[in-house]
Amino acid sequence: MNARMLARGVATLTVTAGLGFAGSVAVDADALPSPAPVATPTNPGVLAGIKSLCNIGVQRRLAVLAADNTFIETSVSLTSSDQSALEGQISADEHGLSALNTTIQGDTTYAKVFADCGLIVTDYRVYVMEDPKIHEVIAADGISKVDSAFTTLIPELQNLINVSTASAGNKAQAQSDLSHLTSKVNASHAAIAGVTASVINLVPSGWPGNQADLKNARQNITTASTDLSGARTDVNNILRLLG
Amino acid sequence: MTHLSALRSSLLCGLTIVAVAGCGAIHPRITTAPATAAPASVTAATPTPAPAVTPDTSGIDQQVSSIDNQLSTINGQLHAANAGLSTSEGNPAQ
Repeated sequence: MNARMLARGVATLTVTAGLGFAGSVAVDADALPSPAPVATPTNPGVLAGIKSLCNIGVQRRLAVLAADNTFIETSVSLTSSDQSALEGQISADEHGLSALNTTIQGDTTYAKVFADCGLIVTDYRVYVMEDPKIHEVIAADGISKVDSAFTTLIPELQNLINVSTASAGNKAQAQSDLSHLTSKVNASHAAIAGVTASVINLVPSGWPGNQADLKNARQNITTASTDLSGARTDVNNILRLLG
Repeated sequence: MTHLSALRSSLLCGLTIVAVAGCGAIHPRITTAPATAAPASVTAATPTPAPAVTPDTSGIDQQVSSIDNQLSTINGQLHAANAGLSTSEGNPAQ
């Protein structure tokens, strides 16, 4: 009976992992097989196969974190404090996952390897929390930086309108566009306020509740980005009107 | 009479000496006026009109280009965040 349960559990994990390789089907953590009784004899080959799948999962997450770290290091938008915070989080995750993998590879029972392998998900939430969080912080800081760029640009556009020799009608339209641009930048500034702070310190233990914070942040970033795109269109219009 | 003439001559002479001494005292002040000549622009009678201010459109173009790059990066990061928020993570081997 126990052997049959174990075989079914291993088969389930193998199928689940196989689906994971395809990258198209998500499987809930609850679908993981229940740990087999400790007394059950372990088949070394099966155990090694499970460990291999766990290792693959760790390596994939490390690869995602490494890619995120590259984004962080090369970003021109991140504030230095946010950059430092995210780098620290990634470093902690990388060390933690590597240590966990070492533990998993040393496990000698099905129960232990199943339990430890599950921690790859529950202790890190790399795909659903850490990775999107990092992208959101980079995007949010980028919005703030573009807001500042527009703040510098607006008076220069105003000067351009003032000294322009374009027709009165074109200058009036350009002035209207500049007002619209300014309102869009202000709206973007309001939408992005507090977004980075709302997500940068989210931790896996807060999952799934903190998913709402990530989704709210995404909405605010999208709104701010749309506002800035509108402001950018206004710049084009102004330059065209003034010749 | 001779005495009076001599007295008058002495007074005139004294006044002359004082005057000459005074002139001598004043003269150096005049010659020690600033050696550098005033700039021509200061002495020009007719002010030159200031050149018209030309807006730095190249600077604006540069700023707009930078904004475009940053907006593109923001969209890329937003897209990547969306991908993470659209998935689930239940499979350790995923």
